[in-house]
Amino acid sequence: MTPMGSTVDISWTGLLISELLLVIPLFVLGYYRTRLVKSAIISVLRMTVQLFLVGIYLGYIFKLNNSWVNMAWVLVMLVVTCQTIARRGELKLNYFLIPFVISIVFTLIIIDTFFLGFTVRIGYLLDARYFIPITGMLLGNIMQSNVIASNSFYHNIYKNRTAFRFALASGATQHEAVFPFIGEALKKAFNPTIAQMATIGLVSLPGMMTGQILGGNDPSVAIKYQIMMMLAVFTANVISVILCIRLSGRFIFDSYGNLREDILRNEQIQKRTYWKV
Amino acid sequence: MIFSLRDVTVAFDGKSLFSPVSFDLKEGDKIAVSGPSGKGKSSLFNVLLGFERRYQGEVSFDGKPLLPAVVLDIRRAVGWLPQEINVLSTQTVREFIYMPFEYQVNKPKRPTLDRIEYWFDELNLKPDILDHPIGSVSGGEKQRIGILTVMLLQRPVLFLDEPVAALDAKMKKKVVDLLLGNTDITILSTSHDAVWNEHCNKIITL
Repeated sequence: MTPMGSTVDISWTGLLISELLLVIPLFVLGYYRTRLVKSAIISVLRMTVQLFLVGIYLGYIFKLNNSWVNMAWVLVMLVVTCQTIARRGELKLNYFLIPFVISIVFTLIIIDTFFLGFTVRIGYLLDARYFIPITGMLLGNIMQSNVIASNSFYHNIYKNRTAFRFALASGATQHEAVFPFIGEALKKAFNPTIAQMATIGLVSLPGMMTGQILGGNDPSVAIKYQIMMMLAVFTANVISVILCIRLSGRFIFDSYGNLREDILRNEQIQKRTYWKV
Repeated sequence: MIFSLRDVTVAFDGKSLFSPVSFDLKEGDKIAVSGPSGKGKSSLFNVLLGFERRYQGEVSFDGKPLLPAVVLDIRRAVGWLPQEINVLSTQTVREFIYMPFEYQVNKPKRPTLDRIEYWFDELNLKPDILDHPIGSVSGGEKQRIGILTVMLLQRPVLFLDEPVAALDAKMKKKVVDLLLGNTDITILSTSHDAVWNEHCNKIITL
């Protein structure tokens, strides 16, 4: 039995042994010639090194607990988040960085203030122990939703450009013409989140709750944090997705209401035959 | 004169899609643009509607160059029927027909169900397809639904891209009479169809 409030540490040997488990997925991926073995190995190495470094950084940051350092750390996470959304959404970063950063900062200010200030009621909002992990979890989820939503929104307008143009040609304003595309993007981005919320606790025990229970906290405290986190994540995702789309829309449509195709990073788009509508 | 085109061509990377064309589209005109597939006939519509900016030559609408504000006026004066509208597949025929009337500018013209049923009858469409997904109706039905939607918008000028390509001979004649026989409407079209082209008062060959 482990006393409440402490976790059994994992020895380095133990961790190395757990890496041996990788033989199974790597064998399966190799056997079926997925060509994913190399990228899987690189990803595992990156994950290990990144988390190892983060462990060291966070140790220092928690000890220091300085607002400026905490905010700087979140800023680094934020820039990486925006870069990833643009890269995985196949969008050119130079057009999207500023609207994405503004949208996500605004979302974080609202959600962090609301949940850390009013729900958890920590006196000092930028306390590293709360501010960094909660913001990190929010950013991870914001990233996933925005990758799906941005990709769906911009690429759907491009793929269905006749429908989009038909709306504009029928007298739709920019807002009216993009309206159904925003609806589709929201559906794509939030269907999985909504489904996940409905089965949570039955099918899966979420990471934050598991972490708290392993950390020795009472499950009744862990579920309260988990509920708060699910609400925070869902709200943050919806706010950030709609802000990212609406704000970036100001930069990526030309004065005639057309989607500027040079903002998309898909090679097929650059090579397309232009006269086919 | 509504539209005036002088030495207009569409050029990508310095290559013109077709030899420069010049013509005027005046009130009541019925013009057909003809030429081989892939030659850029549809691109002409894209130029006039402000969707394609890579053109050479001079284009004006009521004597004004195609600046963004003028393009907005054009989009309120013209009813455009593209060759194929790849709409969101989940949309029903009813939603598709009503979609343009959700836009602020068209709200006063929102048609009654009687009006839609009248056009359904005119164009030999069965009323029960109103609640079918638009993706599930045939090419000919989709084309007639497109014509109906554009007619309901009651625009004085129509841009029609291959408007009778998917219709049988009987329906083709009906649509030709309905659209080309109407002296109040001005039509710029692209067409390979001999019957349609015969009834136009001018043919531009690319």
